[in-house]
Amino acid sequence: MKSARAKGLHGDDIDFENTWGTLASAFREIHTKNASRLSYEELYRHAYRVVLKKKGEDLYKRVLGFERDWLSTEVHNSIQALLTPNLLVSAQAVGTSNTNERRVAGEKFLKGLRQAWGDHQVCMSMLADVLMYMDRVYCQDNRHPSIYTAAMVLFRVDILNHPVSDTDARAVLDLLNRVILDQIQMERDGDVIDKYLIKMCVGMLESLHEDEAEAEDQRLYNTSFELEYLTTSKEFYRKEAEFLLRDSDAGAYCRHTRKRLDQEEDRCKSTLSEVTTPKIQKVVEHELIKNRIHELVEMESGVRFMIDNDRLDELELMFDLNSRVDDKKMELVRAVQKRIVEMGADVNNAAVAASTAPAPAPDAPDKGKGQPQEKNSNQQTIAAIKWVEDVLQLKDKFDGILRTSFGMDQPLQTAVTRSFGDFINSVSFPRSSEYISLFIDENMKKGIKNKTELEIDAVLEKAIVLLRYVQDKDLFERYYKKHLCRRLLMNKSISNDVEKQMISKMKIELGNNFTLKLEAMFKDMTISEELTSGFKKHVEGLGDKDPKRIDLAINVLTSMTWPLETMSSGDDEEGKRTKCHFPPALERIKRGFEKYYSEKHSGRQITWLANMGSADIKAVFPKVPQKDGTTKERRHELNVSTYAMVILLLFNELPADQHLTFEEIQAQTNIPHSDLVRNLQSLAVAAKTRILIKEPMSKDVKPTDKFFFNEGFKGAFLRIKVGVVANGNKVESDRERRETEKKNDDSRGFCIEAAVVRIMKQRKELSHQQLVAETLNQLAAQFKPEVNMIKKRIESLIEREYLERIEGAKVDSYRYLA
Amino acid sequence: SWNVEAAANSFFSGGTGSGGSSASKSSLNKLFDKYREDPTNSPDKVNADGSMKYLNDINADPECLEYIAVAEIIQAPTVAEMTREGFVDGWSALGCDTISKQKAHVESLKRSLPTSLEAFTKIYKFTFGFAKPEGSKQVLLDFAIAYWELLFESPLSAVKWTLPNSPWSQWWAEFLRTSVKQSISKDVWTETLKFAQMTLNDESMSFWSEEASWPSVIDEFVDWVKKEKRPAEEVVDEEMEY
Repeated sequence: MKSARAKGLHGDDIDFENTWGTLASAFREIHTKNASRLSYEELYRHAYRVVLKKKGEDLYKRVLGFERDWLSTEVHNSIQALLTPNLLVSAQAVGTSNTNERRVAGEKFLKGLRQAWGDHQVCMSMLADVLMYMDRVYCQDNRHPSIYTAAMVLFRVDILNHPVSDTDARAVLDLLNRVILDQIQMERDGDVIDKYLIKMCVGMLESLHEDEAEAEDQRLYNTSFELEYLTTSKEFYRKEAEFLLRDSDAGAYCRHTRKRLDQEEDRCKSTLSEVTTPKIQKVVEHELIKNRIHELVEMESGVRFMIDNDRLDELELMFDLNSRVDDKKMELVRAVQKRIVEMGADVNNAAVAASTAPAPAPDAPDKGKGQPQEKNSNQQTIAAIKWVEDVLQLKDKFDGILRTSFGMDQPLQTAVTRSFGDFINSVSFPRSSEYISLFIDENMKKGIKNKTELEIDAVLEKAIVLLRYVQDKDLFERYYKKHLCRRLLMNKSISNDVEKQMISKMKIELGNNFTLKLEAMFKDMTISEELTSGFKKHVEGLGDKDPKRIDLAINVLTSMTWPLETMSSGDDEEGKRTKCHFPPALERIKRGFEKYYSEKHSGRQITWLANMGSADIKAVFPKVPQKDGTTKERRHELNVSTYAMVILLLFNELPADQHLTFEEIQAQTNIPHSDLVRNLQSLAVAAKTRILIKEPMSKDVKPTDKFFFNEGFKGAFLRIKVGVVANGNKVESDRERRETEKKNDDSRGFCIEAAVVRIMKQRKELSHQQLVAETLNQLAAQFKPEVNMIKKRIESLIEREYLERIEGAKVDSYRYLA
Repeated sequence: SWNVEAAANSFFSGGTGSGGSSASKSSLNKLFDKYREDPTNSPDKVNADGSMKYLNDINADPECLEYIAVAEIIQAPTVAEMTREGFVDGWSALGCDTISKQKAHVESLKRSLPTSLEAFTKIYKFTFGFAKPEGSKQVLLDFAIAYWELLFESPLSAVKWTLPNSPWSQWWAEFLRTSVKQSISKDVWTETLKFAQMTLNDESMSFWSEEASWPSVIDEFVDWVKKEKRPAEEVVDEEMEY
């Protein structure tokens, strides 16, 4: 044995053909799964010896030749046996054939192929063991792929790339791809398929390469199957999108898309390969979202519908889908903004419609001229309050959507805020500032009654929320001052504390400057209280108590702080400066106060605004026969305007049967014409407060009318309030609004000029564009001036030689002239 | 080498070096004296009569652009007025100390003005001060319109503000008469020349922008031209407004 071995090792007389014959028959046994009888060691030795005798190349070629034969005959035939007509129908005809049969045939084919591949791998690893020495010596020395690898390539060449049959030139690989795609399509249509089986076939494609180079990116899976998969999926989803857009609603579309995305992800994990996940996601996103997002958003059941019907989950889906294809979510943003502006415009229009609707007809003809107007103004106030509530409701709605559906996404938050600003500051709706102020006014006067601190705070916060959107803060300030002025002077405010709470909220929101004047108004009120009580003490200290003494409560208002013009009747300029003639008793106390005041604050001038005061007077109506037959004396406490008091006092001196004409009253009191008319209407026309009798009796007051004291007056209550027509905070008429806006524009002019001068003083030289931009910037917290207005102010400053143009500058520029 | 004598002469005769000699100044002073109406009460001033006579002597038409050019040279404070200082300094700087020299200068001005933008700009700027009442900062609208007409429509103008399809200067006057403006500020005056030059290069006014620093009266003019004179081009805009 030893010698034989030595001979074998060293002799040249090895019979290659013989040895190969032994090996080949053993290999055949392996391929036919009869390997159990073989001796591995013996076979190894044969192969070893052949290689040792430098016959490695021959052996390598023989083995490959053997494998080629085996694959192209035995294996090929077994694959052929799997092909059924059902399987071979062309791709176009797939739809018409029976799905179930096709699936079964497909599975059979896949199983056969997987079997063949599995067998090939097993056999080849056994062969590789036998041929280990060849691999190690011959293949390595000659840089040939290992026999296993080379045999795997043969599977691609001789099985997969081989035509299906003599009559069908398609490669088996193509058929394989088609079958897998067909199976996946079945799954997409709801069938259950053998995912594991496909995964095995995919595994085969992943371990084979397009060519001998075996580059990483040239795996058969990627170069063949995956490409087709992506192409057919693209087509499939393109059609599906079309179909869904036509036959489905947007919510279902979103849900379906989401499902498809999840499915594809699962499919890559369970059936295909995870390297495909991002690619197929992209295809789905592209076909179902990116290419369709506009149509989807715009569908009848799209974003608008979802917003209107609070489909928060669908909006969330929409948000998710849009984010996948667009960081900025442009389509969603656009649709949401459009809807906000539309809904905002509806709220605005409803407010305008409500405030301009014809007033309900007065129920009784003799209610006095003021009645219908009063109702009208109430109606307007109601419209204003409804507007505020509606806007807040809209805001709540979109806050909810932002929170629940859009995950507080920053771009969408910004977009929502901008759109609210857009409709609140819409040019076609110049009432926001006024309405918000009125909302606060109404709550200060009535709304907060019986509310807890928490509830009150919520109401105030609402106003602040809206205020944040208002661009023209200066206009709001104007209205707020006007409304506050009336509240304070007419004692309409329920709680001083709440008023101050509101001020401090505005201070936080809008800064110190904004609330300065408002706070000054409160300060005036406090000082006035002190003055009133101080003066009362002062009078008491003067000596004997006069039983007929008149109590004086006084408000001293700093003229620049208070918008006093808003308190006058409005239509007469003359009224503001004419002085009313007070009766002696009043004149006395007036002088007394002036003296008292000038001692405390010398150098200040007091102007008496009789049109703004009121008086409580005790009236005794004599014993005259009444309609009900009694003749009792009647006492009433009348709350009247200061003017009405002055008028009534005239009748104290007059015998009952005598009269005064309108002209006489006017001459004696010097009350401005329109104020006098309105007060006489209250005293002699209004049914419940007819303390005077007018002749002739009519609604209108004419210069020749005669007035008598109404001795027979009888009121239902002890205290009677004689109202004066039209006094209260209400929505402005168009004319008033134009006036307010003009006043506002004038004061804006000053603000702009001041800002321009400030900027130029600091910068000395600046281009026109920069100056405009900086001016806008400086004033942003107060209001947004029109560029044209800034230009006019600059022009005026040039004329007044604060600025000059820099001649020859490249861009239009100005220089500050110190 | 230093020419001390020449430098000293130059210094004493006005210090500018280019100024006329004292000799020419004295002849200019004598020339000025000839036109005075009231030598005792206003020895350094010539009024309407003298001015007219003088203009006639140098062959300058008081209704034409050359008159403004002359007025600029002698820095006339306002129309039909001359001051000694302006007359003597202005002409001596040009070396024109006799009527015939001045006449020749006017002739040469008439030839050169239409092509000299620089000279025209100088005259244009001078005109504002010349046209405004003493002590005022503005030119009354009627005067402004008249001078603009003279400056922009004169055959001698270097900026003839008119085009075959856009009689700008006439439009400008027409627009100003319909506007509420009562007087013209220096800024508007200066910017108008700039605007005129630009419209000559860009008839469609595409250079104009609301964002730019044009005085508002020019913004309004642009608007007016678009609406009143070129309504066809504005149709689209108007539709959008409604």
